[in-house]
Amino acid sequence: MVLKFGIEFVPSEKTLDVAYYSKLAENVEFNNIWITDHFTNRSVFASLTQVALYTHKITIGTGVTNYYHINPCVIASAIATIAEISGGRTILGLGAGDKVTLGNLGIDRIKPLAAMKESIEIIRKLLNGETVNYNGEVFNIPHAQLGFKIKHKAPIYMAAQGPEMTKLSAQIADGVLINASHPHDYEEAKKNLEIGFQERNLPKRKFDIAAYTSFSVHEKPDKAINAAKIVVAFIVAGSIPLILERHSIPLEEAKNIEASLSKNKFGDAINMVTPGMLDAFCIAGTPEDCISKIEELQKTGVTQLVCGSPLGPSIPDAIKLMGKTILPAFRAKW
Amino acid sequence: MRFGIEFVPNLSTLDIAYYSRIAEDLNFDNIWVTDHYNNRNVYVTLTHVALYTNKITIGAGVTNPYHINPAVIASSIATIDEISGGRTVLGIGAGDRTTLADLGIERKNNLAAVRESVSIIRQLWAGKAVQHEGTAFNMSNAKLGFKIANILPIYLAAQGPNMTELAAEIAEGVLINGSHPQDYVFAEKMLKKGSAKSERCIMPPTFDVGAYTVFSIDKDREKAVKAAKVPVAYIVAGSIQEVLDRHNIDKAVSDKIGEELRKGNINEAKSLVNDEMMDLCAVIGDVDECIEKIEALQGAGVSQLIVGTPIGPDILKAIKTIGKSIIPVFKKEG
Repeated sequence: MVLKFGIEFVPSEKTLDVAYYSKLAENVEFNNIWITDHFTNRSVFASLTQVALYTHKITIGTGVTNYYHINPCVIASAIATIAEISGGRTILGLGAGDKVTLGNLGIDRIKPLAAMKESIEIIRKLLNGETVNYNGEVFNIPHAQLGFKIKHKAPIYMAAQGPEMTKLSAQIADGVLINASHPHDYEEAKKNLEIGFQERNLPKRKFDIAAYTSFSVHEKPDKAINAAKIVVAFIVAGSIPLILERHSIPLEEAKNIEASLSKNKFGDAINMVTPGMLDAFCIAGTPEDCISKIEELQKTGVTQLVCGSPLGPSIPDAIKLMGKTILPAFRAKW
Repeated sequence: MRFGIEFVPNLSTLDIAYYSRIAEDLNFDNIWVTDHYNNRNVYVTLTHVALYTNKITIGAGVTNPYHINPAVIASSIATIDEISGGRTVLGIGAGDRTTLADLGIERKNNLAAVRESVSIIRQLWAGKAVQHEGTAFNMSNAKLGFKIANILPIYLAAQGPNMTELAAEIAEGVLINGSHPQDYVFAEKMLKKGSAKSERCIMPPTFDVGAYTVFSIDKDREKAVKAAKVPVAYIVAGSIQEVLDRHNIDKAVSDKIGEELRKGNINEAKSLVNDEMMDLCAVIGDVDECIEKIEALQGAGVSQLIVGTPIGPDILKAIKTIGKSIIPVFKKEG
């Protein structure tokens, strides 16, 4: 199967910058743009609007939004609006949200699994033009219907980390976004996806397994790795023990990094990032280094490689370099 | 007198961007885009409008803190302001009762919810880490991650006396769903009460009294009336007791209209709308009649006249007529 390439943009950058990077990514034939959604950054839907208007063929989507800080019915109409503006080039990426960020807003992530399942059902019905009369565990929606015609129904991808969410994605979604950069994580995920698939009558090749990686590329490997270190420090600090053990990272090292980050001592945290951590949690290095790691991921069944933050020491340079070196390496085989 | 215009995104964002461009060319001052989950997304629409215009003020008219978290409203409006180069205002209210009820959302403590939202949004725009323990919201350490150039003006949508009072107490403007001078004579009392509480000046340009009117203009009065019947039916059905009493409209008739609208019996609802209701709840007529009514509103203290749905039997023609024949009359005086 041909490996698709996606790229993540975080609207800590201006929407105009994101639109410019998106145009570059489209020109070098990325397949998919994913825009993150946190209240702390610029609006995901405003960003997607500008991206939609500046591009013409690349698929664009939320990567990912959540049904806790925006009502799922508002998500449905917002993604339908983006689909209309982009001429049907839209995917909805949906997740349970970031615990810390939602915690700051005083939002409890009530029953994330049920909330996910219910949101997807509600959004699908609305996009189908149906009237929703929904009585769920989390959402109670007596009478909702969209007032405009939906020409393009966006596929729905689920962000999944734990085994249950991963299973659920195989049961009900059109794709899954997994936040991981190492083959071991995908071997694990695959087991859970297989369980989910057993309960579903969908040709597996239609389901997109997207690896949402932390990615950094530069011709000089040190530069690529240095740019990735802070991102990896945050991933290590935020990882549950199960994940740390999977990658043989001592819990204590993770705790030390977490302590430094919480005191905003970023320099200290960066210094504590080990080669083992880098190997586990990011794809960083020269184009050749990246290609061989992507090939390993592809072998585990990944069908879309999403290049996530930091991308490289310079975002536009990284996009151009990927377009020249990495993407063609995978296109050529097919 | 300032002139605003309301667009409802039951039209495509491209159509609204096009109409906005025409309104800008004809010296309208403000574009207001409504926010209901069943229509296209307000922030997507505003982004499209921002990119197609260059000087007109644009805003949500209005959003609510029930279907989107106020922190998301803060970052979304800030994003629109950045895209538009500092031309953005926020209109916020307690939302439409019927629409939110369809989503299973109860408007609890609506005065507190609006008051707290305004406070949270302003603090976020000021770059503060918000600590808020209120009756509607609880936030700890919520902070925007990008710089905001401006603390933007906030308008409150008000119908009842308490919300009107609150607008003068805490906001930079009020948006009143009223098309008759009587509404503003009444509002003025409440505004004075509110401004006395906070010792704020509510004279223009410090404070803007926006008349969010049902507006319908055409050379042929019959046509103008016909186009406004459904919007007036919705206004009558949605009016609170105080407003009905002020206009001597029978509550039973208002309820009956509401029932027919809910059942989708548009013609029955229209047939219950009489001439008096049309006169009380809309600005209707040819150029001369509209000018006369706008002058009366101005006399009652209105500082921004917002031409709302339907604008006219033919939107484009109506925008051009207002821009060419009405706005110049009032701008000359100013």
